[in-house]
Amino acid sequence: MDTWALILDGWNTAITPSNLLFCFLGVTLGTIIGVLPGLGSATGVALLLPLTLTMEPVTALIMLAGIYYGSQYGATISAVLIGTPGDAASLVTMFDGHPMALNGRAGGALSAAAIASFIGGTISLILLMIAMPILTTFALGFGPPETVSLVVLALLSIAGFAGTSLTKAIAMALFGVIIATIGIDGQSAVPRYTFGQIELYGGLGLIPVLIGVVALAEVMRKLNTGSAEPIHASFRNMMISRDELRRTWLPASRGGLVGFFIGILPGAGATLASFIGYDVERRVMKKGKKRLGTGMVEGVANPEGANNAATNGAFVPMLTLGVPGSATTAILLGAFLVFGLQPGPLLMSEEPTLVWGLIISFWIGNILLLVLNLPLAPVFASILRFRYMYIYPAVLLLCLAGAFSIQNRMWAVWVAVAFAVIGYFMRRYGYPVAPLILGLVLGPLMESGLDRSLAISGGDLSIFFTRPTSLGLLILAALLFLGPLAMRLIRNRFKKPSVMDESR
Amino acid sequence: MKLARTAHSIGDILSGLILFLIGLIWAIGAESYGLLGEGGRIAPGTVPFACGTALAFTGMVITIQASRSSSRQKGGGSELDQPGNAAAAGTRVENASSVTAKGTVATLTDDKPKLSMRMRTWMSRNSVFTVFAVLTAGLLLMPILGFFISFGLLIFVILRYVEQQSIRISVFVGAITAFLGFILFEVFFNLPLPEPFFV
Repeated sequence: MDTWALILDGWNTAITPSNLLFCFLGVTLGTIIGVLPGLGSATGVALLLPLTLTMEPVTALIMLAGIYYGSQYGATISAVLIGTPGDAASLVTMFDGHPMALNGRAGGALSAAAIASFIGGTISLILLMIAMPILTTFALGFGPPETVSLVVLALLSIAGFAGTSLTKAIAMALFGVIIATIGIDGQSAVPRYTFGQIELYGGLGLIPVLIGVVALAEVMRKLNTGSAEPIHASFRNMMISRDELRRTWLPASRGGLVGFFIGILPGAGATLASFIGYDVERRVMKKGKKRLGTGMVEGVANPEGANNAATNGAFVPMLTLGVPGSATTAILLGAFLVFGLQPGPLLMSEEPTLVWGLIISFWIGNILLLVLNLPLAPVFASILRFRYMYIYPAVLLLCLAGAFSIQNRMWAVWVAVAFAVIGYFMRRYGYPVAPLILGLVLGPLMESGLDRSLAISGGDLSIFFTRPTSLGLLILAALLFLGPLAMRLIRNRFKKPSVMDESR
Repeated sequence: MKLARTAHSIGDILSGLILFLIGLIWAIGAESYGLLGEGGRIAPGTVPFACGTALAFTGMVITIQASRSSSRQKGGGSELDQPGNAAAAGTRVENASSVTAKGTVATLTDDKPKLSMRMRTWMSRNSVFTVFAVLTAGLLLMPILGFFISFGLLIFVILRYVEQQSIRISVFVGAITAFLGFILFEVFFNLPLPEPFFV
């Protein structure tokens, strides 16, 4: 089947009533989760993953992906209206979006953000459709050594981009790999680090650990923080003005292009994409008299286009290579595994309907979000009026019952709570969560790849350096590891505190 | 701020040590699974040994870095911490002050605070530890009282004693969440969650 036939097939899958319904549900829940400061896309997906276990895999993945990109829209609402981004990726939007709201243009900023996100999403999807078949062909030539090199690339680059201490990020990636070794070894069937406990034979379980370290730990951190400032914005003029609309589309397109290419880099993610998008816009604007940071619609459009495009771009390495590029895509990869699907080059040939159905659903989801957000942004914003203490009982319930539902036993709930303690202290002392999740998900993949590579080479480690693709990936890993030093210089230009130590 | 940063360094020293110990335990434990496989392949202990050793090393680096920066601070140094660390420390200070403010209000209203009031203030100030303790107690109660009753109680205790809410609100939110949870998970998803002993 050629690509067009596959895309058409995907379209037919995405527009079935149940898939449309769950796409709508996903983006709506995603928006709500995104609006709540502190509850990012990673938390949302980890929290709601257990509820999707009874669904068809494609429907579940459409809904979970909807939560992912929907939360980007929601995060913008709180960034614009209360000057507190719901997610690190919307931090930059706040620089111009919040001043716009203060100038009485909250409606214009929110509409521009929604339109820009849609434009960025659409551009990235076109690029995704072009990139996927090419990368899949490339990835089909992958052997075990390339897989190992790719995992090394993902782990090193996410550690490099983690935003806080590099040493701590590496420690967390190693900690993730170590946790993954608990249980019966996939290669030799030897039980490892089980301390004689039968419960540990199956490992700690990916989802309970994720729920604990991502979602439950976040609840702990948000305790006793009270509520956000009430919103005093007038929503009478929710319509975007013609001038604002005219100034939105070009920066959004620029952001979309930048965002996609940053997004496909493993580890870089939407936060970095929005920062670079903003920087690009700043350079473009330098020629004129207007200055970003004073409430310019361009400063909202570009980062919004960029972070949404990066979200879609992050699916490229995840779907074609089986290596997630961010904490949230790592959790989504976990979801694939729970459904018995192994993302990677073979998934494209074995489950084309699922993959293309999912990709097409992104676009449908973006249309739904646009339709939802243009008139309903104030309604979503009203969630901010709730005190956090009314929200976290529900989050806590989803965490505990969700962890239970994975294995139908209390053991999983205990694992989640134990990892909530670990996750809480990680946040408190500046240890990033994303490398741990990636280590946890990719550790077993690396171990089996290493075993098979060394079986091929008879124990010779040079196999990783003599195969061109593997060598190329390792060189790229080294570059991406060192690259963040340069990126930090870019970030420092904004002179804002780094808050992207968490889920990207 | 300086105080918070010093506390942060102590946290780094301790967390580095913990990671060092975990790495060490993993590396030592790996030996019993074998470190080298046959025909050049890896043994079950290879990856845990390599990662354990690397983790022990990075843990040590974190501890050394933190103790160095802490000793520099003691010497009157003013260099900035990691930006992320500073942000995290800032958040903590902010949280702490909001909690203290609440606590002060609670104490000011009564010259001789009652025991329950003092307990509530203490629990609110130490909210995270209280919540973990209450969470553990709630989980231990689940096999006896069932999932939803224990959960409702858990929410009640958190709202009443950590969030300092009125009894009416705490009971209401606890009961509503437990009831909605019951409808969603027990009735709709049919999850075999722990049931109360009397059912």
